Amino acid sequence: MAEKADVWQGTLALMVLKTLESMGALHGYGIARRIEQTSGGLLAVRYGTLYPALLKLEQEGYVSAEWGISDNNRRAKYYTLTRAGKKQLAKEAREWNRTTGIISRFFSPSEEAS
Amino acid sequence: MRAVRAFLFRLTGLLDKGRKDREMTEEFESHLQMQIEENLRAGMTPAEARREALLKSGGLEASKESCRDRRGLPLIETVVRDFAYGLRQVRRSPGFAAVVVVTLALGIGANTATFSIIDAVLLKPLPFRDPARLVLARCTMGGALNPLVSAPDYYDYREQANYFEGFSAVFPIPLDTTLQGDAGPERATFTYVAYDLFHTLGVNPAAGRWFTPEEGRPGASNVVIVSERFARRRFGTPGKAVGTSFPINGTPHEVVGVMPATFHFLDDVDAWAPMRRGESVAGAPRQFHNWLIVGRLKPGVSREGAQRQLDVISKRLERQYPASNASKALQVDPLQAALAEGRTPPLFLLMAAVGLVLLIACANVAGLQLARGSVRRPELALRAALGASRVRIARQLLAESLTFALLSGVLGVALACWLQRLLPVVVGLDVNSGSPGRMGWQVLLFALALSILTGVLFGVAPALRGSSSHLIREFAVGARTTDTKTRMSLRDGLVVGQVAVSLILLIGAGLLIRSFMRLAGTNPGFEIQHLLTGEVRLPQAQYADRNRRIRFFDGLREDLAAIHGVKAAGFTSRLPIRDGGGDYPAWDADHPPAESAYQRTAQRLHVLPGYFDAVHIPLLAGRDFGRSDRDNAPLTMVVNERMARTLFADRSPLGRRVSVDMGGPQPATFEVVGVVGDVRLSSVGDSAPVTMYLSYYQFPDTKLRFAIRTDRDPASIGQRVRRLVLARDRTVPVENLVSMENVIGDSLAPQRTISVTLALFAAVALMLASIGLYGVLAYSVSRRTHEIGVRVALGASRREVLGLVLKRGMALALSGLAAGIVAAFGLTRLLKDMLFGIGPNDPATFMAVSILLTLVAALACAIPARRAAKVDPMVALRYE
Repeated sequence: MAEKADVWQGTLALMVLKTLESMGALHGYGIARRIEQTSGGLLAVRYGTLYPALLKLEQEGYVSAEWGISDNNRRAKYYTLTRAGKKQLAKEAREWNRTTGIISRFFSPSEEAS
Repeated sequence: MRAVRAFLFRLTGLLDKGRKDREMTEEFESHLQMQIEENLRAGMTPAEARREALLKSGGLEASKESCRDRRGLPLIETVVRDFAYGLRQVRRSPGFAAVVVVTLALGIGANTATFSIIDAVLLKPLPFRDPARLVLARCTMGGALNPLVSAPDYYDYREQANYFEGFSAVFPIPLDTTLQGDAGPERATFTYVAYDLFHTLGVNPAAGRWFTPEEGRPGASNVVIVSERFARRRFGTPGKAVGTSFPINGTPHEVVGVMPATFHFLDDVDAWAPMRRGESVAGAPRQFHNWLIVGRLKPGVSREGAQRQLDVISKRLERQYPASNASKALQVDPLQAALAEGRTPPLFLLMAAVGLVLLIACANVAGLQLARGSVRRPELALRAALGASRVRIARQLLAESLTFALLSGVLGVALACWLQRLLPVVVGLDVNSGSPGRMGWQVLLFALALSILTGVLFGVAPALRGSSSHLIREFAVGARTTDTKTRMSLRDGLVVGQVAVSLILLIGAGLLIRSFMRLAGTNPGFEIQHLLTGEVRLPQAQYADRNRRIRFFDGLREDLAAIHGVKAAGFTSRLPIRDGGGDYPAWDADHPPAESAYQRTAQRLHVLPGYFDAVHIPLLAGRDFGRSDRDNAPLTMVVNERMARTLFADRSPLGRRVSVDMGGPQPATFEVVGVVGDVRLSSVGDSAPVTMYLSYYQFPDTKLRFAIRTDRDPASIGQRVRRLVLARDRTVPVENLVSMENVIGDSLAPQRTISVTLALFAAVALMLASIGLYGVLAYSVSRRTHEIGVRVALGASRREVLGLVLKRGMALALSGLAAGIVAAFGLTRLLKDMLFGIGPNDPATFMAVSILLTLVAALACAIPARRAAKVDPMVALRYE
């Protein structure tokens, strides 16, 4: 079985926020599956990383949580993006793009040279 | 902002943990179930689906733990857990806990109570408006504090100094007057103050008003402001007093205001009358210093600035009045600090003493903890083996110590509440500023800080020791604990320190006790036994005629002398030690000094014939006064030995003439007719001042004090004296009837109480130190039972075993003794001003205290040593 990379905290928060933005209200399992799918199966999301991250986002007021009923009639906790969360996502996405842009500039010329 | 919000959430996360935990479990469970369902859909068997789902979760319990950490505040939670653990330790060994907590609570309580008094006297602002701007202005002569200021000088300063918002004089000696009450004659005290004193202090009257500026001018109608206590006593309610009037020295005074009950300033008097230029006591000329000045600086004016301005005025006055104002100046000090002068040394001494006692108590508890620490080593080693870090174990042990300390702190504050009311009596000072019996937040904060400090002090050594890295190794070696060298030397060090500190306290107490004994044994210059004293004041109005006064006292003297059991009765304007008085410039009339005429003063007393005889002041030359020394006869004077020597050196003083400036236009000239022995007038500790006695017949005041020499208990004739006085005149009260022995005893009360208190603390310290010494030895003997058994088995005699333990104990005690003596040599210098007749390094005290401490230490060592000597080698060896 191929080794899957664990996601790390800072980027996980961004992924969670993005997932909630595109999918609307979602439970923890759904968020985990969605992130794994989006990563093309390269990332594994464990409870120990996902739920503390969700708690932190909730404490910071970027997401809100509410108990609801899932598609197959199971009680589950649903997370939704708050307005503050939307703003935060926009801000972080901007910063992320800038950072990756800068980093990729370091890597692309060397690739051409080789 | 977000971080704060998150922090608050986490803080609330500490609460209702149960519900949050259940929710989390449910959320995890539903997550797991969804995964299982998905796996089933993917075609796995139920068992496979579950296994796969669990594998993917990455450890459910560990995940829950990391969620819990994120939800609450892990640091606070572990700290709370540590304290809960500490409390469990308290419950587990209640005996040990009780000893520790009570020991520390006594220490913390005494410290807190002492601090609360320091806080009330020195730190808490005076209960006046904006007290930081209040200053006390006192007169200096040639740089030395006088401290009183003359009325004319006061008015000059007041007119010329403009850096002050208020500049008010107060007559600092309570005067008294007789009022006729429902229950016969009673005494009221009053004094004179500048009309704006209360305004300067910023205290509003409880009823009525302040004095008006007009009421401060000469010739205005007579008004007074009375105290709340007096108004209540005489009129029932304060409000009713305003508008009424009562006589002071025969003149009716109208009450215009009542000061609130909380108002205290200098002496508590019943009434204040406005000071008026040229009237009454304010009429005395420039060389008579009777007033204190309270000033309020204008906003923005510094004390230094005000001082410079007053200095300029002083120089000006010096040029203007060279005879009376040479080298005279006014010194400005913060009011609170100036008022607290003299009260501070005993307070700081007490604070130091209770602080040292607490330190010794801490050392004792630390010793106990260390000893217990070795018993608890297996437990700690187990914790270390299970993965607790060094820091974690140290923190837990410290938390335990702090639990003990905080419990002691709570108990200590309760104790302090009670001690606080007792202490002012013990230290001999009245805490009239601020309300006693109330703990301010500063005091509580002090108690808390002290408790924490205490916990750290006695907890740090055990914590470090308990968390040392040997733990695991020892666990491997086995539960049997052995004493490493370092642990013993740490406890040894604690004991040496305790002995040293208690020696310092003992020496301090010893010095004060010895100095008190010297003081009490000092001969004041007269015979104090079998002497009843009291005072009689004639109402001014009825006794306006001087001959009436003379007739009254002459008659009374004969009446008193005729009482059965009375040997003699003496009358004087002022009794030694008991009463205050004033001094007057006096000089040899035939050799007047050139410049500093007013620097040489003599205490002035008026006596009736027979006074010297009654109190046993020896007549050294010449004669006592007689009936011939009256109104129209030449003025005569009896001087004390010191005055004779000061004025006339070796020449015989008899028949010489002395000039005295009594405030009149011309100095009065007296002929010296007698010389008597020196008497300590103001206190037993102060040497006899230059003193002149004048004839009462020539200066008949309305008030005289009497001293009756009896051949029995002086108190037994008190009633008889009262009856005789009332028989002469029903309106005349006898006051302050008290034996001279009690007068002297009361005058020495502060010295006695401070030395007794310090002795008490020193005794506690000595006891604690001996317990510490005993503890260390007893512990080491119990640890070395085996070794001693072997020694005895190999032929060591009891005496040798005894010596072995004694030697070790006494080595500790003597090291402490040596260290203590060295420290005491330096420290006792701080006591210098409180000692009388001995130096701060008094060898006798040092010797006596060292011997005492050695004996007590030997006793503390003897008990474990005897136990060691009794060790039965067979039992000791089998004990293994």
